[in-house]
Amino acid sequence: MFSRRSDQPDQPDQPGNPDQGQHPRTPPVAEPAWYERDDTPRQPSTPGGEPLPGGPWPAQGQWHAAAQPDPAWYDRGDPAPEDDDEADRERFHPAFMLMTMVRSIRGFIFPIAIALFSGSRGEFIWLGIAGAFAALTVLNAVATWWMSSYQVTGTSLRLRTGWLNRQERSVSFERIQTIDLQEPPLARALGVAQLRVETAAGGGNKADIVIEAIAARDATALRNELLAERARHTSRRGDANPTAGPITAAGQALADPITGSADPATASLEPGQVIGRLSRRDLLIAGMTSGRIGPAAAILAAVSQFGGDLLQNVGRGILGSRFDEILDWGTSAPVQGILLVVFVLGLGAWALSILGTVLSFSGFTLRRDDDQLLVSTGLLDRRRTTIPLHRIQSITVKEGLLRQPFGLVSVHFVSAGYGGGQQNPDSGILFPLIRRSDVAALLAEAVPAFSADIEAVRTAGRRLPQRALPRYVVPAIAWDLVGLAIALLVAWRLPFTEWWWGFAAILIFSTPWSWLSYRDTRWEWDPEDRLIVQGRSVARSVTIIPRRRVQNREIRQNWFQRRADLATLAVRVAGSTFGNSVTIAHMDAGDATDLAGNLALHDVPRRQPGGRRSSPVSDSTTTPAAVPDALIP
Amino acid sequence: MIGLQANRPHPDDVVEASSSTRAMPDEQLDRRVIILWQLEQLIWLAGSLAVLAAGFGAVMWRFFDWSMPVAALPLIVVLLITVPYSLLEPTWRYRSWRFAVSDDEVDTVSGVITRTRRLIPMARIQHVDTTRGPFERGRGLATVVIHTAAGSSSIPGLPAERATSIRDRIASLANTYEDL
Repeated sequence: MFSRRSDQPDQPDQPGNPDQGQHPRTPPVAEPAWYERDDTPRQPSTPGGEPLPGGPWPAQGQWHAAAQPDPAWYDRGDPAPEDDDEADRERFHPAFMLMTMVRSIRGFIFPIAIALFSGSRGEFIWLGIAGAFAALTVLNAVATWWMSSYQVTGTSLRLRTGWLNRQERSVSFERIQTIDLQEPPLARALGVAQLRVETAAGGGNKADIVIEAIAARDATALRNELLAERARHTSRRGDANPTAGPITAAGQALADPITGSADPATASLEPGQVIGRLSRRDLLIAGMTSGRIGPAAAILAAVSQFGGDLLQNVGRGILGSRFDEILDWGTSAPVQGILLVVFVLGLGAWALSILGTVLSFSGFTLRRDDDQLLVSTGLLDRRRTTIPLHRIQSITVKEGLLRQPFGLVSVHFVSAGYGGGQQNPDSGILFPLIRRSDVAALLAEAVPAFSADIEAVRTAGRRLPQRALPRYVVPAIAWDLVGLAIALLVAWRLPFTEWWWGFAAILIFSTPWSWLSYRDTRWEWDPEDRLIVQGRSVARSVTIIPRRRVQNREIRQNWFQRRADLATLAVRVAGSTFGNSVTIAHMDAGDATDLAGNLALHDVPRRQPGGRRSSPVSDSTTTPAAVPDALIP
Repeated sequence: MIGLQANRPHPDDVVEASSSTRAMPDEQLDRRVIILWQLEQLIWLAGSLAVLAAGFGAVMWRFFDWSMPVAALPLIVVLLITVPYSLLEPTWRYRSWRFAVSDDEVDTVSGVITRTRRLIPMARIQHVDTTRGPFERGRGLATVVIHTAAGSSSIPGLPAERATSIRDRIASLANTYEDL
């Protein structure tokens, strides 16, 4: 057993340690400084945790062999060595092999198709190639499965993957930021889930550790175990909820609408207290009022552009000869024809948007477990996400165009170090549909640090000065005139003058819109040290940013603004996704600088000399004077 | 009032600190950066537009029977506009730039048409680099790039030693904060 990395938590000199395998519960004071800490516990022979030449793993085939070599001297007599390298290692679920095969076949589908249809000569060769490909696929799947494993050690989650390129990666519990459980359709059919662990360093699109296939029930258990370990290893709690006690409701009586039907056992394993569920009725309303109509209409327009013939055939199939009558009427009366096309496209887009919302938010459930939120959602592709409260940077309450008249909103968050946000804007959703009057209660329960009265900013928030109105309206009119000029040019060159209507419509809408966004811009400096901003682009939204989450502030002033003594303030929080900043355009320059001054970080605790962490809650025991002043020159 | 002052006739006047708590930053860039920026503008703006205009003229002259002087007109117009602009704009940009590195914040003011003042708290700075492109190396200049969780911003056109000392100062100051 050369080079095996021991996972004993740094106590090999205590032979009969009763705590063997347990995690040392040390007070925050004794927590090692950043430069002392390491993902993997040290071993004298491998400083810095670098694997010795020869690789960190034993020779192939030895891991799971029953022939466990003699335990080290300090392990002898220990009935169950919990941190043993061999014992805890788990392979992925065997379904992983099938999933890998499907994935590689999907990747080669075009070459295969070309091979199949490329002619009759040399069939034997093609057969041979196909056979070899199939054999390779199977070999690759089996070998990858055989050589991949995950392991929960005393201090970290460790993953080994690959058989040609072996990779080993471990993430210590305290670095874990979010844990996602995902069940893509195929995995779900096979009864397995994907567990994705992200650290702050990730940030990109890829999770740091992905356990590709794990039985759904084990996945939840493992997730809960990791969450518990993280809580144990993090001395520093989110400053978000200093008062909230640990909420443990392991035995959820309510059946989980997602997991409940498939596996009641999993539902009861979900930790935390349910804060909200999206009912079926609300799900439908969310779909009907969602802002996805735009993208859906674009898709439909593209489809109708390229598949016009197909659409005609489908239309004839449904409507019979009446379809041609409609078509004739449409071509004979172009304006009405365009209106009809717009109407049909809109209807189709609406249906698509409802479908998309149902797929994304079916069974949406928000739970809170002490200092983290758990979101589970999705119909086909189910995902369960954990978000630590102290990573949440800002909260935005959005009133979509179709939702505002009904007093309905969606609640969004920006979280640092959450890679999922880049690919999928839905992942930043705290709750997809809720009545405006219920928002305060939701925020108080789910994210107490952001619990604010958003109605107050609407009614009593500070407004823009009158002289800012031209800065909103004049550019809108100017752009309209440019649009009109282009329309005139087009109308002059082309006989198709009906487009006039479209440009006229833009002109009709955009100027009042700019007035609306002037009127709706309000802000408030909260007594609890938060900036609350209401604004409008298309939808009206309210954003809450605590001062201590601010990354930078920017005051911008162009020539026009300088003349009117106005300025634009932009406040940014962490997270490189879109929506990490809030902007108040054309406010009084004095107000802008005052607000920027209010948002200064004058009271961030300084790290104690010597690299010791000092928490604002529990630093009374550290004595900075005793530690040599190493970091501050 | 501490922000970007209104009704200022000239960008240089922005330097004047007001009676407020936060003074405007006062440190300027190295003058040599003007030549650097002029070179960059000439190559990227004037150069690329001139190539486009020359290409357009050549096509018109060759295939559409435009006479040589007419075909050369776009090129002349482009050069007449972009070359003076490329020479002047860096001067304005240089004049608009101010920065200050205090114990708490990095404070920068820049921009000719839209003046932007950016305040970055030390406690939010994750790491700080100095970079030197080939032109900068030739003139002994360097750029300080400041990275936060919300992206990065930079202070260009500093003398190399000054850039290094600013970088080290920011690094040591940023390192003393507890991360939130």
